[in-house]
Parts: sequence; C-alpha cells; structure tokens
Amino acid sequence: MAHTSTEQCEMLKSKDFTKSKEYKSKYIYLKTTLQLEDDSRIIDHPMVFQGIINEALTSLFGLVGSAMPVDILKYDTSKHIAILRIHSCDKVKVWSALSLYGFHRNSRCSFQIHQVSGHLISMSNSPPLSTN
Amino acid sequence: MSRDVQFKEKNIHVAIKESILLNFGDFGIGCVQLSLKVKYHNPLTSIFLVRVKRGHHQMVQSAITFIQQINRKQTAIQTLHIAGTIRSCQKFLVNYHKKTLPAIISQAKDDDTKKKIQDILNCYNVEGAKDMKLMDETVQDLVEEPEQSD
Repeated sequence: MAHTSTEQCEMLKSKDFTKSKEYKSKYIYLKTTLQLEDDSRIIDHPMVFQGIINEALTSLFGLVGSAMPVDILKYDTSKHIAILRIHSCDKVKVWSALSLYGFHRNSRCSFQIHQVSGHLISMSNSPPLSTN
Repeated sequence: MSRDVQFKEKNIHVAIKESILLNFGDFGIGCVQLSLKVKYHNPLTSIFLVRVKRGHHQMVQSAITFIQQINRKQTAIQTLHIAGTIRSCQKFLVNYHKKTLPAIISQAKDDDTKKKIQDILNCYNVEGAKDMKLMDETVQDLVEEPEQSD
C-alpha cells in the first residue's frame, strides 16, 4: 500500500509515542539450589540435577510437562547453584513445578530459587549470602 | 472395537483418569476430577459421552486420544463431536447415524435388514432430538441382528 506524504504525516501524528513497546525476552533464566534434608547425598553431577528437574515436572504436569525443555547452563558443584534456562511461555509451569517438589526418594527436598531474570547477564552478580 | 467386549462406564472413567494422570500429571487430575463424568454409554455402537468442565475440554480430548487400553483390552478412541449440551450431542448423533447407516446397507447380508435400514432412513428425516431414543434402539437392534444371523 503506497501512502502519500500527507497521509504518512497524519499516520505518524495519530500514533502514540509516549508508551514504549515491551519486548519480551524469549528465554527466562533461573538461579536455583536444591536443598536436601540429609546433607549426605550431595548432587555432584549436573545430569543428576537434570533428572530431578524432570521428575519434578513429570509429577506435577505429566508427560506433557516433562516435554518442556529446561537447560542447565552452569552448575557450580562446590556451592550447588545451577543456572537454568526455560522458554518464557513455560515460566509459570516450570517455576511452580520446582517450588512444589517436596519429596525426592523418601527424603524431603526443596528447590530454592535465588534469582529470576529475562537476561543472562543479570545472573553475573554476587552469590547469595547464606542458604540457611 | 470388537463387540464381544463389554465395557462399563466405570472402566471408561478409570481409563480416562489414568490417561490424564500419565499425560498431564497432578495438575490435570486436579483440573478435571470433579467435573469428569461418563454421561452416556452404548456398548453395542461403542459410543460414549463424556462431560468435563469448560476450558479443560481440550486437555481431556487429547488425553482420551492417548488411551491405549480400557480394562486391559486394546482400544483406540476417536472423538466424534464436541458440544456444550447433551442435546446438541444427540442431534449430532442422529445425523451421524444417518450418514453411517447407508454404509451398513452395503455390508448387510439379508434383504430384510436392508429394508429395515431404508425404513429408518425414511422415517427419521425429522430434524431434532425427539426421535433420538427410538433411533438408538433401532440401531441397537440392527447391530444385534447380524450377530444372530451368524
């Protein structure tokens, strides 16, 4: 559609430039720790962590829930802090599944979510003071 | 589905619940458990009617499609129609039977059954659910007859 210059001027005048467009990021990044009741079983490998996330999703949302891709971008084995990446459309479901996962192999556990952001660069801040 | 197998409404209900639990988890069961009910079941024509709360019908439809067995018998379920009321489902069923009965004519073995089917198609040209029960009963009789003739 070709507009004349006067038509284009009118179109620009009618647009509201006071409100900025919100560009939603494609991915959401979560910084989490899994705390187990008995500290003897410590999670060494990120694949074990991935398995537990999968169990949490499957128990609450079934096979459809386990099909939501959750990537572990970084796993700190000394502090047991993981940075997860999820699609922004799955945010509510994954976050709720992690929060509501209470029992892992007959011992109590809890996912503690320290930080949530749409940008990975905001994860590069100082670590949490204490997990108690 | 073979006609020797007899399912009860309970078996279908249990199968749907298991499928929702497997595919949609605790969340799925929580959404749907109270409102899920098998309202009508015709074991001879293998047609059943399921009620579910509005908004979660798509979840239940996909869960039903994933059902592999009911009462430890292999089954495959096809969704014929989704509607907001039982009445509109029955209206659909009348039209559905009108479409499928001519196909049965070609499979019919006796001339008597062919005449019966043609009589039904002539009688039940009336639109509406008034004759639904009668139509259903006559379809049942037709389905039983070929078995007896064997």
